[in-house]
Amino acid sequence: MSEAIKKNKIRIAVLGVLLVAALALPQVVTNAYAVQICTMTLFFAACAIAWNILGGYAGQVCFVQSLFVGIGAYTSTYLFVSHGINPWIGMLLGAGISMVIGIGVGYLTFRYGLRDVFFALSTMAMVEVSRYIVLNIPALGGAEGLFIVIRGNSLGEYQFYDKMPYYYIILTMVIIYLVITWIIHNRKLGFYFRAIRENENAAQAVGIDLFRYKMYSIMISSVMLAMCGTFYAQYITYIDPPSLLTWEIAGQIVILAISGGAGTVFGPLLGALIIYPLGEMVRANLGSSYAGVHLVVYGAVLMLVILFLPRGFIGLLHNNKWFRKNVDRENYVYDGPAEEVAAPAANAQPAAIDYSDGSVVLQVEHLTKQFGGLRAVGDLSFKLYKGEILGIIGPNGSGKTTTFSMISGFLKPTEGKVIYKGEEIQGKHPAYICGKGLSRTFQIVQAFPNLTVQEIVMLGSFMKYPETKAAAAHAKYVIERLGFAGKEDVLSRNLTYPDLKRLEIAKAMSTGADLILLDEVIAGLTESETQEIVDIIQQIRREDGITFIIIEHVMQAVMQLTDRIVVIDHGEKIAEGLPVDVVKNPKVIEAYLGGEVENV
Amino acid sequence: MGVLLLQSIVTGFMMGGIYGLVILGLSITFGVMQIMNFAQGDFLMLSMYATFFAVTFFHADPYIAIFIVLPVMFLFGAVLFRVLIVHIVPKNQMYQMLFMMGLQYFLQNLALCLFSPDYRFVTGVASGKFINLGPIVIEVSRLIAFVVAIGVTMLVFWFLKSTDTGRAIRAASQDRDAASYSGINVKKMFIFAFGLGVAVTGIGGPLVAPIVPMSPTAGNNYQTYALMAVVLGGLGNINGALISGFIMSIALEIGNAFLPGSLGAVLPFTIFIVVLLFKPEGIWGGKSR
Amino acid sequence: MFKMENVTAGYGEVKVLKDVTFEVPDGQIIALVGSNGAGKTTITRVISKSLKPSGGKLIFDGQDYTAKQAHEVVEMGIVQVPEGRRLFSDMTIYENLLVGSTCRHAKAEREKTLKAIFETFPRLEERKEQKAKTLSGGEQQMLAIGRALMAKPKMLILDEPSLGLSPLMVQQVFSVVRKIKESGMTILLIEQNVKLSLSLCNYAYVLENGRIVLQGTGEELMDNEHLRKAYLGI
Repeated sequence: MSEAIKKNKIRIAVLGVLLVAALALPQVVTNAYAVQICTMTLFFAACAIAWNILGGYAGQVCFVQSLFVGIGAYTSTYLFVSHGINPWIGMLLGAGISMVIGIGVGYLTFRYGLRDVFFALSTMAMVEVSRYIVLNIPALGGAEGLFIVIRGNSLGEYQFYDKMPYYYIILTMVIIYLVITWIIHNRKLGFYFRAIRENENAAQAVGIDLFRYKMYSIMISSVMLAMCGTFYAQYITYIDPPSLLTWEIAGQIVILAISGGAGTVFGPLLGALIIYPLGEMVRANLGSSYAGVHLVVYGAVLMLVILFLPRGFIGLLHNNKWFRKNVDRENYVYDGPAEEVAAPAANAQPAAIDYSDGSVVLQVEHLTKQFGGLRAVGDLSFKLYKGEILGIIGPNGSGKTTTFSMISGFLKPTEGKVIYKGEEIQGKHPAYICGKGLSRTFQIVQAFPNLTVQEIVMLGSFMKYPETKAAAAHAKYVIERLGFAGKEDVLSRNLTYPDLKRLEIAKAMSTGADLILLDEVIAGLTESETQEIVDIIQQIRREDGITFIIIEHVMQAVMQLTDRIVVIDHGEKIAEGLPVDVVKNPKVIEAYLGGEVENV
Repeated sequence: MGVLLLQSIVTGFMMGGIYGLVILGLSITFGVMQIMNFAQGDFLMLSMYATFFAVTFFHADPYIAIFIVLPVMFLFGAVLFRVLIVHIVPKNQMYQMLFMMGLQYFLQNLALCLFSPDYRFVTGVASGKFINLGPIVIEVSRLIAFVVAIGVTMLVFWFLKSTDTGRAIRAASQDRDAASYSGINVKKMFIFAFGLGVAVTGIGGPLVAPIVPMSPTAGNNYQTYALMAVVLGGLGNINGALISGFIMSIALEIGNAFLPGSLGAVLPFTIFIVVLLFKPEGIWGGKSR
Repeated sequence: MFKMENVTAGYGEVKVLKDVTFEVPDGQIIALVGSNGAGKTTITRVISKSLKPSGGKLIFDGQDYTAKQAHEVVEMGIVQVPEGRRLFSDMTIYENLLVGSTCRHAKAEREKTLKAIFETFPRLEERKEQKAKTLSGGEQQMLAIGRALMAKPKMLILDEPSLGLSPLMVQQVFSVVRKIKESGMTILLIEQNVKLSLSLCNYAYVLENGRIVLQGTGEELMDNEHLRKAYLGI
C-alpha cells in the first residue's frame, strides 16, 4: 500500500489540492451568484462525465442524454410532487427507468447496427418525440412544467433552504463519477470501449462483442445521467420540457465533453470547468443586450477545438511529459514482468505434419460468396492440418480476402460450410469465432491509432485473462515475443510500417488463438524486414504450436514459409499442393503471368 | 374529417416544396463532401433576415429581394467553405458533424445576439390573400412559395444534369480522384457546390418570410426535417430525399390536424425512427453503405 | 516525352517508391510490370499528381511539372485510365464521356472526339443513355478508355486494363490498345499480364519493391530468369 502511495505521491498531491480547493470554494466565494455558477458548472461536468462513457469511451456520439436527464428529473419530481415520495428514492427509481429506456434505445439502434451519424440522428429524433409526449401529459405538468415546493431542510430529504449544500452534493457526484470512469478506464471494459470507438471491425477481430459492450456503455451512462436529472430538479426546483428535453441541451453536453477531451477520465470535467464559466461570464457582461451570446462561445469553442485540438483541452496537458508521468495520462502503462511461460525446448523442430490422419483443424467445404451478380468466391474447398502453414495465393481480386472474411465471420457465405474444430462456424459472429481460437489480421494496418502497443495487445489478452494485471503480463509476453520490447508505450499511429505489420500478428496471437489468418503481412516490406517477419512466424509456429493460413503476394516469402499452397483465380481453386509443384503448374503460371493471347 | 384530411395533405404538400429547398441544399453539400450539415436550416434563417433587410432598405417586395438574397447567400456559402469548411473535409464524418453543430450554435446564437429573439414580419404582394378550392383554402403566399420552390428544384436538377459544371459537380461527388483525372478542378467544384447548396436553400428565405414570422430559431424545424428526409431518402439519393420531405411534411400536417395538443409533431419523428430501425439504408437507399 | 527522375513517394510511414527513374519517349508504348504491391499504381498516382512525391522531378515536354495540380496535368496532356476503371457509375455513358472532356482544348473538339470514340466503340454509342454501372466489365474498361481519350491526351496511362476481365475481353481490350498505339499516341502501360504487355511494348521496366530492377525490350525481358523469380519466387 505504502508502495502505491510513494509511486503516486505527486498524483495524490495534485488531486488533494484540487479537492481541497473545490471544498473550500463556496466558503471563500460567498457571493450567491458565484456559488450558483460553480454548482451549475459541476452539474454540467457531471452530465458530461456521464455522457463520456457512451459518447467518449465507446464512441457512440449521440443526443439521447437529454432524454436520460429528463427521465431522472421527471421521475423523482413527479413522485415527490404527486405522491410525496422522497427524492432519493425517486432518484433511484429514475435511474432504473432510465436504464430500462437506455436498454430499449440501445437494443433498437445497436441491434440494427446504426452507427455514427445515423445513430446520432435517430437519438435526436427520440429526444424530440419525448419532448412532444411530455408536453402532452397533464400529470407531468405538460407545457407548464412541475414545481417543487421546498418542504424540508436536510440531506435526507434532498432539500435545503440554502443553496450551498447542493454544491457539495453535486461535487460528491462528480467525484464518484470520476472514480467510476477511472475504474472503467483501467479495466477490460474501458479497453473494450476504446477499441470499439477506434475501429469496430478490428475490435471484433480481437473477440469483442460489439452489441454487448455498446449496451453496457449506454446502460452505465443512462443511470449516471438520470441521477444528474434528479439533482437538477431538486436544485432548480422547476422542470419543464423545453429546458430539459431538447437536443440543444444535449448538444451543450456534447460540446463540453468533446472540447475537454472525450474518452479520457478528466477531459469532460476540464471542458465543463473552462467553457461553462466562460459562457456565463460572457453572458453576464453581454447577455443583457445580446441574448444567446454564451452559446456563440460554445459553438466557436467547438469549431476551434475540432480544427486545432482534436484531443481536446486535456490533450494539451497530456502532451506535457511531466503531467503524463506524474498526474494523468490517457494510455495504460504496465511496468511489471512478462507472464511466465514455460521455456520452449531448444531447437524444437516442427512436428511432422501428418496429412493422412484426422487432425484437421479447419475444413472449408464448397464455400461460395455472391455479391449481387459477381461471384467473388465459388465452390472453394480445402483442408487445414494442425501445425501447418497454408498459403493462399492468386492474382489481385481473385477472392482471397473474401475467403478470409467468410472463415473469420466478417462475411456470411452465400453457400458452403466452414468447419473449425468440428463445429460449423459459417455465419457466426467474428467475436464468437475469435473466442474459439481463430483470429485474423487485416491488410489495412493501424487499426487502433490512438492506443499504444501495450494496450492493443492487451485487447486480445483480455480474452483469456479478464483481469487487467494478468492481461498486461500476457501482453508483455507477446510483445517481447514479437520484438516490441522498448516500444510498448508508443501509440500505434507513431509506429513504422514494419512494426505495424508485426503488431497485426501480435494482436492476433494475444487472443490465445491457435489458428491465425494472416492477410498480407509481408507486402511492402524490404527484404531484411521480410526475413525478420518470416523468422518470427516460423518461430511462433514451432514454439507456440500455432497453425497459420497466409495470403501473400511476395512469392519468395510464400515459398519459404508455406508447407502447402492453394491457388485461387476468379474465386475458384485452380491448384493445390506443395509450393515447388504449384509454381510449375501451367495453370498457375498462366494466372500470374498471363496466358498467350492470340490475335492481339 | 375528409375535408380536414384533404386540407392537411394540401398544406403539407405545399410546405413540402419549401422543405425541398433545404433538402436540396443539404443533399448537394452532403452528396459532394459527405458532410452531414447541421447548419443548413440556419442558412434558411439567415436568408430570411437578409430578405428582411433587403425589404427594409430597398423597399422592395420580398419576391424581388430574391435577386439580392440569392447572390449574397451564394457568396456566403462559397466563402464559408473556402475559409472554414475546407479544413474539415478530410476529417471523419463524426468530427464533421460535430463541427457543423458548432457552426449551427455559432450562427444561430449570433443571429440571436444581432437580431434579438423578437419575431419580425415581412409582407409581400400576396400576403393575406386566399384562394378557395371548394372546401379547401389555399394561402396565395404558400402557393407562390410552392411553385417557385418546385421551379427552382427543377432548375437545379436541369443544371446538375445538363451543364458541364453540373456534371463536373456530380462527377467530383462520386469519385474525387477520377474527377481530377478527367481534368476537373475538384477544390473549385467543391467551393462552387457549397455556394450552390447554400444559395438554393437561401431562395427559401424570401419565399418563407411572408408566410411565417422570422426568428433566430426559425431554421430549426426545417433543419431537423431536412436531415431526417435526407437519411430516409437513402444517402445521396436526392429524389428519395425530396419525396421523404413531402412525406414528413404531410405527416406533420396530418398529425397536427388529428392528434391532440402538440403531439402532431411526433408523427414524422416516429416515421423516421421506425424506418431507420428496420431499413437503416433509407426507404429508397441501396445497400451501399 | 515524359520523364520521371529520382522520384520517391509513399503514404505516411510507408515509402512505396524509392528513387524511381524512367522515361516514355513520344509515340512509343512503354510497359511497367511488377508483382502486386510493387508500387505500379503509386507511380500512376504520382504522374497524375493525385499523390505528391516526396522527392524527385516529373518532366513532360521539357517542362518540370512537379508542382502542378492534378487537373493541370490533364490540361497538359497526360491522362490516365485508372486501375479498377473508376467510372462515374451513377452517370450515363454519354455523361461519363462528356465529363472526360472537361479541360479547355478538349471541350473545343468535343463533338469530333465523341464521334471518333463512338466509331471505335460502337457498343458505347448503342448504350449511351444507360448508367455506367450497368455495363459489363469489358464495356466498362472501354468506357474508361473512351473517357480518357475525350481529354485529347498526348500521353495515355493505362493502369491494369485487363484486371478482372475474362480472356476474351482481355483480347478485345488489347486490340483497342493496339489501335490506339497505331494512331501514334504515347502510352504507358501497366499490366499484370506480363506476357501480353511485353509482346506489345517498345521497351519495358520491371518494378520490384518500389525500385526499377530491370529494363529492356520486351523480348529481352521475356527470357529473363529474374523476372520469373519476381513473379513466382522460383
